[in-house]
Amino acid sequence: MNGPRAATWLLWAGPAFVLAWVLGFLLTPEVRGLAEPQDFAGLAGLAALAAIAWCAWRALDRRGLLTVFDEARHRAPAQFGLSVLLCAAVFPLILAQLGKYYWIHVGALSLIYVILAVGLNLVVGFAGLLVIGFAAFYGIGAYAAAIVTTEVGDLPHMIWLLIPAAAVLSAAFGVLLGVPTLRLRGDYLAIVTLGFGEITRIVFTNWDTLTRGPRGISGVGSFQIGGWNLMHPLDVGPLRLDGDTQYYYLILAAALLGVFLAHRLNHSRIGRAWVAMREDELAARSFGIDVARCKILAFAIGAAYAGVAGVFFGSLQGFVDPTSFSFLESVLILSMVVLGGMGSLSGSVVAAVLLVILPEKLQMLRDYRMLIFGLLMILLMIVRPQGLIPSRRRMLELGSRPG
Amino acid sequence: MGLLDVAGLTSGYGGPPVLHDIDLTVGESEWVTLLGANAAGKTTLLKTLIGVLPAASGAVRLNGREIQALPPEERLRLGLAIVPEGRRVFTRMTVQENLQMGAHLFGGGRAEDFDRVYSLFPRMAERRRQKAGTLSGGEQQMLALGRALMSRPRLILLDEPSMGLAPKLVAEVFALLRGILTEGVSILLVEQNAKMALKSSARAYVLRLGRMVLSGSSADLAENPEVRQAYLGG
Ligand SMILES: Nc1ncnc2c1ncn2[C@@H]1O[C@H](COP(=O)(O)OP(=O)(O)O)[C@@H](O)[C@H]1O
Ligand SMILES: [Mg+2]
Repeated sequence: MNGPRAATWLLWAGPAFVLAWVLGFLLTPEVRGLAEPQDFAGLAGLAALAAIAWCAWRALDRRGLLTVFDEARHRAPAQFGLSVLLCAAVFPLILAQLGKYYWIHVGALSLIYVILAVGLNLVVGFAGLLVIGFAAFYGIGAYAAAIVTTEVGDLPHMIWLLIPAAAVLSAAFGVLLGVPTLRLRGDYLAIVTLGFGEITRIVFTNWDTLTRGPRGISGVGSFQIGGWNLMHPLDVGPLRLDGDTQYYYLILAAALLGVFLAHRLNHSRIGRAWVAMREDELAARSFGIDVARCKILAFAIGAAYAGVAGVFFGSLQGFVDPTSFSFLESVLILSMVVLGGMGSLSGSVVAAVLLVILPEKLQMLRDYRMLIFGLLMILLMIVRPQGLIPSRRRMLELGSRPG
Repeated sequence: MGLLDVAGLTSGYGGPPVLHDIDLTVGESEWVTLLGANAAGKTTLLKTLIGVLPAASGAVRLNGREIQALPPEERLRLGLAIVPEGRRVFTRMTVQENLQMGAHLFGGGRAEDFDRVYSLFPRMAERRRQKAGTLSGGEQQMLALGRALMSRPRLILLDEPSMGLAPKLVAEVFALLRGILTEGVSILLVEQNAKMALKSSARAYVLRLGRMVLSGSSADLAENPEVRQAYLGG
């Protein structure tokens, strides 16, 4: 098959296959335990889907199409992006027809995680700073939205202003954490940021007068445009869009913007400085890169992403409490970055969606979620250490040939 | 007064000083060689000069201006660039990106600077989209030199550029340096491989255990029995 042409074809066939597969996945009954006949049906369905995915993967791999796919992604990013976007746009419409409204909510959640994973990837993947307590910034954004909209009163358009406000607030905390940890690297930085995450969670739990402690805050404001509240059902011709669907599109727009900005950043002067710093800090300093400033900038930008994601989360759920910003949450976001591939934006997107949707389906395994993620990570490190969708640079770093 | 004037410089890594009371001068369009055995402190001196290592005491002047307290980026702006020991090109970046890094402070490089470097190093032009990690040792050395030139330096510090290169490539590097010198750029070359360095440079210094023990014209030093014994193989 002719390389480039096969690639163009894959750009459309790939997402179509993914969409079909996702729909099949959503239609299989959930596996809650192993008691009801439908659990077995669900398990069989999931096994079949796994087999299909595995065969497709092997077939692609055998014929070298996977590299063609990687190549296509880089050579025709516009087409690739468009086909993925098309998938994302029709997703809630199809689900609404099927009556699976809950999955639209899960879809919106997964988009919030896309923002989080991309933000953390800027810090960990691009700037090379191993930050673990990332959920702290997410929580700061969510609590900011919750506190302001409930305490000050839910003025019609205030939540829009809370997006930049939460971004700035989280970024400020990012700088606050970044400055004293400048000299730390690797494991030490990981430990300190982990501590920061825990402290933040404890503050959320104990600062009763502000956060209402473990009871959490309900009645977080929703997004409004003019007199129209995005949480209220909206009829567009024959289609009825419920609140989750409207939020889905709102967050999709934000996630797109986030990915786009991260992409631009990666190819900017700052992005190059990050790469240089990650590779050889001393050499980078010799060429006038202010390493301290670069690191703090990464902290601030990553934290701002998390803050914005927090506002969407608080508003989507209408409720925030400290359990949403636990250590496990931070691990989950970091897993998305590692699974998708460090420094790979498309990888973060795919991994975020995967790691949100999969546990929803395998309810039975929810308690073992972390165990399974752990096993998945180990497996990944053995089979494809550069991540599911490796970035070009990382492919080189890890010694495999760029696709 | 020279382009670079170092007086009474003491420096190290936080413990006991590695360099003691160093005096050194490099003039305008002058090529100065710094000789010294392993661990004499040559690399430490260059790191201190570009500002990635803070000096304990002493004065460093560039073009009459005291630069001791300035961060690396300010020194780079004032015309100090380095070709570091072991090249240290950014292996994961392309050749072009490496050159951009050299001019990072100046908006990533002016078109005429790229043209100049690519005409000096035609092989780099052919490989501009290739990752620097895939280049041979000699090519990486050329790239490191090109990267340093991108900031339009007045003085280039080179840390053992001939290390690990075949004699033919060493000759090529030295020929390039002579070309750069005629364009008015000064050179401070650190070498263990002294023969060619002394032949090309005007003056030379010898560093031993962190102290300057000898200095003079390169021709004189090449005749010095001590230097012949230690660096020229008898
Ligand atoms: N990063 C460092 N930390 C501590 N000591 C160092 C470091 N680098 C070099 N040294 C010490 O400084 C001395 C001079 O080293 P260096 O400047 O690299 O010598 P040269 O370049 O002449 O071979 C040596 O004793 C070496 O052990
Ligand atoms: Mg050295």
